Amino acid sequence: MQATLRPMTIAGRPIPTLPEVGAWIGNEVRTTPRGLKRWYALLGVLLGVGGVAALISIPPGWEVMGTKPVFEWGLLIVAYVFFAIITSGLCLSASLGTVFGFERFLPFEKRHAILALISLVTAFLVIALELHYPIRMVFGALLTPAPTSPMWWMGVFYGTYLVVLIIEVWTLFTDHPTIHKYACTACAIVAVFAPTTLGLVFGVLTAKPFWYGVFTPIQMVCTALTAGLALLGIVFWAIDRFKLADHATAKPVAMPSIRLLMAIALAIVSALLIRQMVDALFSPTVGMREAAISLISGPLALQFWGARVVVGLVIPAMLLAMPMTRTPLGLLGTSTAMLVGVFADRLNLVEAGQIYPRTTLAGAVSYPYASYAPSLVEIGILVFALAFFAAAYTLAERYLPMGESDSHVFWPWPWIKHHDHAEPGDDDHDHEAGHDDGQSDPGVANAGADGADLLKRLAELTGTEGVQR
Amino acid sequence: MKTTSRISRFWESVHPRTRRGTVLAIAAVGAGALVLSGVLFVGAAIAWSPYVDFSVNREANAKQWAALSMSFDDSSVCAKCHTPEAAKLLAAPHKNIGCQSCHGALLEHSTAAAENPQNATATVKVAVPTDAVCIRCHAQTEARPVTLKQIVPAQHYVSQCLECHNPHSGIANRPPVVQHPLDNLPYCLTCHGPQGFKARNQRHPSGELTDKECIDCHAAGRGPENSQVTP
Amino acid sequence: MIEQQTAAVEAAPADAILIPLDELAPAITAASVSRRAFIGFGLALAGGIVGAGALAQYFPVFASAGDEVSPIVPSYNPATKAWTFVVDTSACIGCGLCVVACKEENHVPEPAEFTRTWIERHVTTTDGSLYIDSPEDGINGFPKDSTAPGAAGKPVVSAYFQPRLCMQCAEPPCVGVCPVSATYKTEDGVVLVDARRCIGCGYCVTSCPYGARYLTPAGEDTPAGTPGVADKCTWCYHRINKGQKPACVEICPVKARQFGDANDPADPIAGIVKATNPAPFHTEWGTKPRVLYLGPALEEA
Repeated sequence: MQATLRPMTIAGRPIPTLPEVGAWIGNEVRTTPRGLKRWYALLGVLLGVGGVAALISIPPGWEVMGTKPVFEWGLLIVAYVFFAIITSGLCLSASLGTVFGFERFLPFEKRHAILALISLVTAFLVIALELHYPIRMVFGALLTPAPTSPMWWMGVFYGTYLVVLIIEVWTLFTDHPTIHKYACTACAIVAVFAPTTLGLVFGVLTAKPFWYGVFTPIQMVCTALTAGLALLGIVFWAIDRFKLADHATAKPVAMPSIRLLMAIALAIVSALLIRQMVDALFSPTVGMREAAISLISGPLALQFWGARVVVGLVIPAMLLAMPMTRTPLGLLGTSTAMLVGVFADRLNLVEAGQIYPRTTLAGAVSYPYASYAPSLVEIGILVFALAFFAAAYTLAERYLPMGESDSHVFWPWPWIKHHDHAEPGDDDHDHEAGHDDGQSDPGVANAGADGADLLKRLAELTGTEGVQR
Repeated sequence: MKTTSRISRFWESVHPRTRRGTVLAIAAVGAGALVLSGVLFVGAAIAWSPYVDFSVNREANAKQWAALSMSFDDSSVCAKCHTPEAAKLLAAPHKNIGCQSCHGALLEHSTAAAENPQNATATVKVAVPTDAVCIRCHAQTEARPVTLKQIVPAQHYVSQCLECHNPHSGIANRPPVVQHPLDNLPYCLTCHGPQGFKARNQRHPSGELTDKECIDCHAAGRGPENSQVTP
Repeated sequence: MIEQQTAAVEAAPADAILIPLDELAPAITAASVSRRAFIGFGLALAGGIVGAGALAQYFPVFASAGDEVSPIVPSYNPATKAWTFVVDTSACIGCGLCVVACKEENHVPEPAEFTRTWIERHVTTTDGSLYIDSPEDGINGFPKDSTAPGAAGKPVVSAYFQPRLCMQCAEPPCVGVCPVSATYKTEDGVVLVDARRCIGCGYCVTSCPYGARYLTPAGEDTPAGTPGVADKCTWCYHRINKGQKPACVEICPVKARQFGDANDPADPIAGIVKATNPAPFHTEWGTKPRVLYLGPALEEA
């Protein structure tokens, strides 16, 4: 009676039946390491709490947010901007490897794509919960476009970004190297335009002098880079610590590269911040001075000096400069601090811009500053977004092949001599044959043939052959 | 004749496969154009329909805004029925004030009265305004121009404003004066304090007063009739 | 055909590389197929657009001005109107009746932070400081002294009331920044919001330098019947097309707010503007506000 049924297939792969899925889940639960189980449990709790907050906010009742007419953009806008610029920053920093072919940035390749996609999806999730009628936005932006609106352009670019990222991730995991190369290039280009339009959303408003001007988009792009690097730092610490795929190149190659870029980014961002504060303090425009004073000595002083300057800039700079803290754990500290700093920076921007209203509205102004406190629901949604991001990435890291792939090194400028470590005529796909040249460093025995090559190149470039970092 | 034979000769010369391909191609292009025009048409119909939520149609929305119902009427229509009050107002200090500023939104009333003048009293929002209506404008407040008559409500005669004042004519009747001897009485402010039945008017000295000061002034003959009291 | 091909082969130079047609055929066929597909697609697209346009001529789906969506507004030609709003800040007594009337006329939500119009009291003290207070938008009038923090006890040099409303700017930033084009300017110069299209992003609220906009809260008592959409003063658009004045103008006891059609010779507003010479208010944001102010408000920085 029990005939063996032929399993249903889709694209040649069999669809697992429910008992098979159940058995697989049971097996996974049994074999998951305890630490990871605890991590899942924590994320589950946060997702639950945050999920409740998200559900509360869905019906357009809108008494649950802390925003009011005098302070309409609050914590959720900050969260959206935060996740959106993480996406762009990841692609910007990884483009150095995937588009411009600098080999020392190649370890970012797979991780950045997955992280960027998850981050962008999280950003869209947050904005869907923030907007009162998100479905109308989809129809409205398409049927009644508004080219005069920076927010419309932002929607266009981030929508395009999502499509390109999906293509990039898909082709990364399903061997389409040519399309992947072009998708990476498109991603890198959009990764510059998208945060620029995001900055322009703030930068065109003459009504908010603290936001107005050309430097807001520039700062948006630069803090994007910082945020992306910080996230990569945390991820690569995890790769090194938990011995995830391709962890051999994490410590010797990826981390120094991240640190180098972080140093550059910190310098740029610090310079921009100083310029912004000095310009605001001495500006004749009404509202600018008040916004700057609110940040420096007013209600926002703690989140400016404490979170943005000390935690976000001073501590990472110190940790990067001191040789003693150039360790994976040091990188974790630096990255976490920088990420907190970027979040604080976006929070400062959104709050300082609105804190000095040009008009009293219903005595809602605790003169001379308007007051805003995020409601529990808003904080809950932020927690939900962070937990969702972490959970999605954990699952991706666990169940997707994250080792370095072959589809890289796209060198689009033929007139610049690009030093390719492979011999001419060598097939890129020939790694399995192995380059057994006997120069593999014994300390990184598991690097694989490709990794050994990379280390050899790096050693040659930096003159540290035989030195183990 | 020559044309048709030329066409048929041309048609003959073309390879059958090419002939079939051409016909199919034209059919495919035509079908595609037909389907696409149908889709575009339906899409445009939805997008421009005034009945759909996200429609592009601005006219319909402007009309919606323009067609909302009103609550207030033009105050000048009141004079059609309420001639005495309107006539009085023309001479009064209140002559520039519309009826609705004190009597509330009156469109419902004017519409009902236009249909049935005898039976429209129920639709009047505020037939007799309370003190709060008067005090809203006449309370002494920082930044009010001095051309406006202002009172300090706590120091003004506290009863119904309308007991003494007629806003339609602007006539303010003085409160009644009761003469009484000044000995064998309780503490003056018991009756004449701010909450008393006959409050001191605002030209009266304010602040802490003892019976002696009250009696000294009023025994000398100064009182409501004699306005030589300097505050 | 075959004779031509043989002739071509024989006529070719000695070092010419002769590729048999069979080998070339698939490539050529593929190229020409994709070329044809492209052209065919383009023709289909063009045909579709032309067809849709032709269909639209025969089936009028584009709603026109004569549509019976809502009761037709009789004989109102918006293009001929030059609506003018004048606010006299030296006359305003801060009674708050305008705020009350607006809330009642337009079903503005009750809490004070949601308002289409409001009054501010500007008090200058002897030490040169300016204190602005607006207790509940002035809806219940104002208390005797300024409630602004820091103003208590300071002797006052000058003070005045400043009624505020939407300026219906000639170059409104709120219209430009809406991502779904939900807010727009009518022919008679009034800026309106299509509540069916608004997504509630709040961009227009943050973009208004005069603070005239707000997002409606929960509850049915909202002007457009929808919570979470942008709303603002419409110069009582439903009144002015019927010859009435905005509710705030109608109810103001001291004629601090005046309104009229400057194009109408019977309307006194043109004469008032000429006589008193009011000016737009706080023009530094470049939005070209159209509410004209008189009195101390113009002298303030």
